[in-house]
Amino acid sequence: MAPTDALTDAVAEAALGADPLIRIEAISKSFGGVPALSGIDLAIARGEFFSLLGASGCGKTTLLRILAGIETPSSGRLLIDGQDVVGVPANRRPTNMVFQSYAIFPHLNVEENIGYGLRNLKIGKAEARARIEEALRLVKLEGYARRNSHALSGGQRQRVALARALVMRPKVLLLDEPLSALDKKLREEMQLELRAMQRTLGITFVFVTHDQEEAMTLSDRIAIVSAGRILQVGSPQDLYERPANREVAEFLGSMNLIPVTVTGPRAVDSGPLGPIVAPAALPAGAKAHLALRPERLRLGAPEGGGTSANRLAGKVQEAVYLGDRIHYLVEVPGLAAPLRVVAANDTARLERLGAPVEITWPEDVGLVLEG
Amino acid sequence: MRGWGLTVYAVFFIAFIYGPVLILPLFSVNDSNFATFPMAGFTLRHYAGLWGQKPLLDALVNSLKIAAGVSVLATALAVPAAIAVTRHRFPGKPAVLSFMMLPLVIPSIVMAVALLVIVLRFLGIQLSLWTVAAGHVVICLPFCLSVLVSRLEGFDAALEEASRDLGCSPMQTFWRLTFPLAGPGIISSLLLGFIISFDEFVIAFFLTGTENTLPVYLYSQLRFPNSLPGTLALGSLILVASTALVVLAEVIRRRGVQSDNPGDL
Repeated sequence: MAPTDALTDAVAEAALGADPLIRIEAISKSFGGVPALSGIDLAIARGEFFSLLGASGCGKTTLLRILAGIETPSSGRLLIDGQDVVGVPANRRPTNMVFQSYAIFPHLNVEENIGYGLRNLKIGKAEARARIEEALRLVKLEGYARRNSHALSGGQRQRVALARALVMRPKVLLLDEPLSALDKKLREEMQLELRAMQRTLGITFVFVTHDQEEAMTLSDRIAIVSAGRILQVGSPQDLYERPANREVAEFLGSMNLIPVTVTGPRAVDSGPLGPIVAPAALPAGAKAHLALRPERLRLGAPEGGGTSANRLAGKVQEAVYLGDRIHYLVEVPGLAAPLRVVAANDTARLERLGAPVEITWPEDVGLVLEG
Repeated sequence: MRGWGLTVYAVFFIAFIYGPVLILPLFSVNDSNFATFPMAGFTLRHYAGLWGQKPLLDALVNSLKIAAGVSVLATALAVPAAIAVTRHRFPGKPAVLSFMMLPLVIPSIVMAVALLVIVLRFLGIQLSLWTVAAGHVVICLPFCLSVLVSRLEGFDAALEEASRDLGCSPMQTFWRLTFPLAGPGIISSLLLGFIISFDEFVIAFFLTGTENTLPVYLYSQLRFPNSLPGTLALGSLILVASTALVVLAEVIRRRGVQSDNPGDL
């Protein structure tokens, strides 16, 4: 375990243990008898950038809409800042949302859009003006105040939607795939801006996305949602390095999975490949999968020596040169699927197709996952 | 030359549709009391003569009052119905919608007789301009509703959610968002309701008491050949005004649709 992971965990736990901003308890939701969420438990700390990551239709947006008060949960409790808000309508919650479609009011210009919610707060005209100015600066739209909302580009609409929510100074900002309609370059730019903004403002962000890279770039912690359940919650490092199960392992990044039987606390048997050393927390005899990240495997010449405990012989089936790295598919006799190996370009020479190679990895790299 | 057949067809088509209508203005400026060819010469005396006919002017004022009231009432009733239909899911929605649209396909004579029976037998109300107005509200409602539904359907449901999210109650959301967005639709609905009520004959004929609406009055005057040119003159004026209103309603509706749906996303 890397020291940074331990630190993140400690920070998250300390923040949560004391007094989480959002506490979701056993929340379920079904639409016309079809369950969309079942038994969600989650705590989100103050000032956290929290992401709900999952494929489309997994229930992540429904959970966000329950937080906003747009949907009502079928059962369960939801506390925001210690207050039970189930039954509190959206207009009386300390949350604001950036909608996926941005929902810019078409009959209003930029500053009227941003000031829309301010009229519902008991603040003076001067204060409202100042807040709108500040919000425009924050999203870098100074000089666009009088711009007609029809005359905005996708990126600008997104910024207006963000400003319109932030100007309310919510305790929680909810973001529903806000970057998915932007092109790649703009999206990456906005990711960095969002992250910086969240750190500066200290507002808790709950961010829904289906893009795992985006979730990892932005989040302090991520909840992986699948079929209306939360599979695992943790920091990006946690989820990537220590996935709780096969689904998480395959969802985040790329993963080689080899069916094995547990034979001891540090040993598994993979049948045709023979014994492999890996830390296994499962009882001996359990059926499991050995999970290996492609970038943690080393590719070398056969009988290349080295000190790694585990070695498999195979030959290169496919090699894809990507500049900074090289992706290999290595056929290993006895394995149904070829193993994926990612080699950094500074250390590896390009192996030719069909070349015999040896894959090695240190004994603590393999993860033994149940099932 | 290709397509000349279609051109001829189009010319005949337009002549067929608009020809009879254009007879009205044509004979209204004919210097004769009879609507026959050959024409006698140009005059505006039929127009000038309109101002002296008190019953005709009374009927015109009645019609304008009814049309104004009906358009406002039918639109006011259609707005919540259109919101319900476009924004909420409820059991039996298609049935409710078809039911509200039914007056569109019921022949007006059937509708008129039915309303007459209801007013006289079941409600026991005296026939008057009020009963005409009530009948007109019934027939205008589906038109107003369909104009408003098509307007409201074009909007992202997230707009209203965003308004709620920004602290507006359902009522505030209606006044600050839905109403202005539906604005062009509401104006078209008002204009359409006005025109339909103003032009309507059958229901007015059945449901009116001692006072006449304009179409009923005009019909009653057809028996007197001398008043025909005056009728033609008034008809021409109404034709111009109706056309202008319908064009205006359509222009407003289209401009609203264009400017508010810039193809975002």
